[in-house]
Amino acid sequence: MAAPSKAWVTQADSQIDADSPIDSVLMTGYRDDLVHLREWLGLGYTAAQNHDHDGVNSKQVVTIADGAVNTSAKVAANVINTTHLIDANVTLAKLKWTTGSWSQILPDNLENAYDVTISQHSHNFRTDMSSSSALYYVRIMLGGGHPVNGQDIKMRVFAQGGAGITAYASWDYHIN
Amino acid sequence: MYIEVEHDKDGNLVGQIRCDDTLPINPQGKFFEREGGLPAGLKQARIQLDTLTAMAIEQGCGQKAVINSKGEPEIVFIDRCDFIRQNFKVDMTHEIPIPPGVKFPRELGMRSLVKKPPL
Repeated sequence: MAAPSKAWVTQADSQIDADSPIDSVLMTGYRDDLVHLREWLGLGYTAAQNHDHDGVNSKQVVTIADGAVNTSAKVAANVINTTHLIDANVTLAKLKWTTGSWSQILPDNLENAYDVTISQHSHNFRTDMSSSSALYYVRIMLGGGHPVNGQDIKMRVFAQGGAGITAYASWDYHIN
Repeated sequence: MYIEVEHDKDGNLVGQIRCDDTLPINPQGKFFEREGGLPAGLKQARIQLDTLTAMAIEQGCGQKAVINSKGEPEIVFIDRCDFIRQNFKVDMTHEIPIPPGVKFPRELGMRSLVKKPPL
């Protein structure tokens, strides 16, 4: 940023003692010092008592050094809570998740049922078969009842195909 | 990586395979069960995985660029369970003891995997 338009002028003791004249050098110095201070404090901002860097009465603080914010301020080092995160800024890319997978070689052409334990926070379920036919299917049914927070749930996989055909299921789930 | 399988007496992975990156919240829970119980001749086992085997599985599955039979480049997806079934079998030479204090489903065995010999 540019330096103040008037350099700071220091008044010597000899200029302000009782016998010294009030001359243009002295008054210009005072004027320049006031301009210097005004520009330094916030030329383009609207003056306010006890300015608080709200962007109107003074410039907002641009950067804060790591660890320079103490715990009584709004944000301390390594402490971010939900009040600091706007919903729209939490995207899928910021969530940790992984993929679970299951498969079974079907023993016959009957419907077989398998119970698979999965995380309560599972989603994006996919099924597949190694061979396709209008008669073949893999379908998933999630366990009934309200899940208790933090517990696993059961996923029942129903698969019907033919002996030797492989049924697949996979899903994504959130992790810590 | 955690794996649970159904295998026959020779260690062949002929039944269900389940792969996951986390354990169930209930440490004594199995990864899967069958309606009506295990068929005769099958056992269910949790796999004790060493780092190199886990890396081999991780790197062997997922999306791959291959040259197909027509000589053209193609993107294929190799299922993790399929990769395990095609390349490994259960080591039936010994069962791994569960350390004291570790909660483990009582009906499961703990085994390791061995690479299948090339065809």
